Amino acid sequence: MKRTACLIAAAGLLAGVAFAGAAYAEGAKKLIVVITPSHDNPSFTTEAVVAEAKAKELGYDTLVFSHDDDANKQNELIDTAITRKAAAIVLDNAGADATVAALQKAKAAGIPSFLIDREINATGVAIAQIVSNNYQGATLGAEEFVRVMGEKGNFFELVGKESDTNAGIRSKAYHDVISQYPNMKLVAQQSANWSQTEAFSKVESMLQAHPDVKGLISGNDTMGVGAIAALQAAKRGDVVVVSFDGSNDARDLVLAGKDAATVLQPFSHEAQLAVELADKYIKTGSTGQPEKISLDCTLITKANADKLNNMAMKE
Amino acid sequence: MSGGRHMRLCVAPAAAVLATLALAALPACRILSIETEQQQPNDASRSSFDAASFVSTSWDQRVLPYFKTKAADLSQVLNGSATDFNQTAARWGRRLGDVNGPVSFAVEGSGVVTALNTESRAGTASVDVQTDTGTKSVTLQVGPVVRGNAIRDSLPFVSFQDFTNQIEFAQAGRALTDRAMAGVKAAVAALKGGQRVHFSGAMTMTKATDPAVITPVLLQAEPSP
Repeated sequence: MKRTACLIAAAGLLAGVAFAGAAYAEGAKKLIVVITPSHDNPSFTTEAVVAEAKAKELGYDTLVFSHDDDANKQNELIDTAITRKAAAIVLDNAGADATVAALQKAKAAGIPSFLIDREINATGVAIAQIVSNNYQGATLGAEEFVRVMGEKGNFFELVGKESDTNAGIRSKAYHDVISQYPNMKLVAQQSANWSQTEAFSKVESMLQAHPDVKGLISGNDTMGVGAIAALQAAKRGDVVVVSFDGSNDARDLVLAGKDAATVLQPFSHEAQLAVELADKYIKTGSTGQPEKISLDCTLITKANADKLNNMAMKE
Repeated sequence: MSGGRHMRLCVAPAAAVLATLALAALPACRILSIETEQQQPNDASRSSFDAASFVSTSWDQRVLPYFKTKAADLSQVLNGSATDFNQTAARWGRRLGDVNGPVSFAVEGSGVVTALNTESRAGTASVDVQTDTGTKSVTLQVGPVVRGNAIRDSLPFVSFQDFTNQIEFAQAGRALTDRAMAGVKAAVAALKGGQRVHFSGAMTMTKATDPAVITPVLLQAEPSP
């Protein structure tokens, strides 16, 4: 560890001597650290790409990391941000409770945090929490699901990764809506951990056990894509599918009539807003906004899917 | 959390044995099932929020008075929205989120019921309302399933800031809507085509072309003109 530090210091010294002018200009740039869940999911890639682009546009250096939904890894990345004396952290966090202590540490080190997508169960720790109202979005998805199903029939549910706050929130909202319809019957509920391949194999076996299924509601698009592949393979294209996130993959399936609907989370907008608020905070000491900002999600059906691209709606 | 769960798992069988042996002697012993433990996720979907008491302490004191005294004239809101949505939103509505967020209005109006649509459980009544620029058709939600959180979002004293997380925020919204529907239940049951009604309620719009879908808070039949 010590040796590495010495080497880095030496390298830094050399670089400093060799490129004194350039190093000065680079050193004057402040750093924004962007931390998101795994980029396996295009939603989080969008967050990272958009936040990085906006930060660069506003004249910041950036470091982009993924915590892979591992609270320990997130903790280490926050430590890195502290060590690097980041001007701000933009974070889609790895757990509503586990994140609080890590952000308190950053706060104590004088580094403001700007949360996107998932919220935490505490206020006064982050400067802003730009929350995707997953509950509201899942309500829209469930209402459309029920409507297309004709308010009746057996259905499956695929649930997301348990460590992700939004997996639980979406499932709860789905059930809060669907349970108001007595002729809708949940016959199988399984977690596919946000994974496309896992969803494929789970749906294959669910279909064998319940051939009378009429619908499938999925906690996100990647699982929805896997489920649709399994349904198509079993020649069960009649099964109504609704998913969540608004990815390009899901959009294409909606346009092809294979996914009845998805729900767009405003990932792109959130990432942009978080960096803008961070910039304002860095420059003025205030965002001028309340800490918690709830952004609504949008239902995507065949009627508007053609306007969706890279998790944003074209006007 | 997971540590607690393991401990409970170890203790439960022992407690069960004890309970079987000496059930009468342990009247206060309460065994939590594993299911109960698993229904308490370690994340922001957990909640200890009491939506019922939230509504009972605010309904008569704040919510009803707000709809009785502050609701905007529906025809003015409809015409204003068609002309300049943002200005109308700023004057009479409440915007959630940021500049492009949905706007909720507390409104009151009168009109004639033209249709009852109760085939879906998300039942509605179509009502023709007279405005300065002609007749406009609006929708009253009559349940039993009611969509959206227009009532919650139209109230200036109910803010996302005041709740621990979006689940609590949603529970508050649902409880307000349920309370409203309970209050108009008798009037809804008596609704029929051609009837003239007066109502106060809330609607949410994102843009001028969105349909006016109103969740009623107050609803009464009026004598036909």
